Amino acid sequence: MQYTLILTEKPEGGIQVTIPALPACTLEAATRDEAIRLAREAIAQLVSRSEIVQIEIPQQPRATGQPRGVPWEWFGAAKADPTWDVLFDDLEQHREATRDVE
Amino acid sequence: MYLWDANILRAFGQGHATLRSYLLRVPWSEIALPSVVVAEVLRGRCDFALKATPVEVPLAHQRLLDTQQMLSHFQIVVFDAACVTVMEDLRQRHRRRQRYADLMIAAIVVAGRHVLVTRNQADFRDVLPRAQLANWIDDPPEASLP
Repeated sequence: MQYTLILTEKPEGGIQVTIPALPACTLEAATRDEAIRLAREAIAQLVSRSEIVQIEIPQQPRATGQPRGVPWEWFGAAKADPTWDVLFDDLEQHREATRDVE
Repeated sequence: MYLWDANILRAFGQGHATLRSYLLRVPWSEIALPSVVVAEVLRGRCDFALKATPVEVPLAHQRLLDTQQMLSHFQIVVFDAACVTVMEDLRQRHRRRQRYADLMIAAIVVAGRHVLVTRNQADFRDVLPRAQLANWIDDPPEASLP
């Protein structure tokens, strides 16, 4: 398995090693070669003591729509829309047309 | 839960003043649309989008998307299997000719023990008890909210 190492030169000298896949594992070394060697050893040691376990967290599906608060941006949004009234007039006609069916 | 009939959704889009005063008093989490109304509204918008003249098509499709976005802010109470039994019972007990969508909405209201908010009290008076009917347009909130 390959690990990415970030080797950062420190202002006061030496190299800081960061391993993104193992954020708790940080090292310091005097040289680049030593940094890589120490990182290799640290990773090997850590991996030999570790177990990878994957767990599944079931997501709680929300009820349809999430009630946060009144969507005031939509309140009165159709005031100037003549198709809004046509929509509901048609809807009423559709309902009325089913009265005889029942 | 307060379930809105289509005429209340219409008033919402129009920005009706009395409805606004109810919205200031009732938590949004207590308000929902029956799936029947959602289906009716989307059918209307889809019909418009698919049957509009070429010149009207851009407007019709924009309105379809706008309406879909507006509806996405609502909770929806679905007509489920429990509603089927209730609806059949309502049809048996109320011989007076009812409109099909009204019966479906009434079944959702009865099955879930909700309150139907509608201006059309006449078509629901026979199938729903008075306590499960409300009119947020013609009745002031002081008179009808607990």
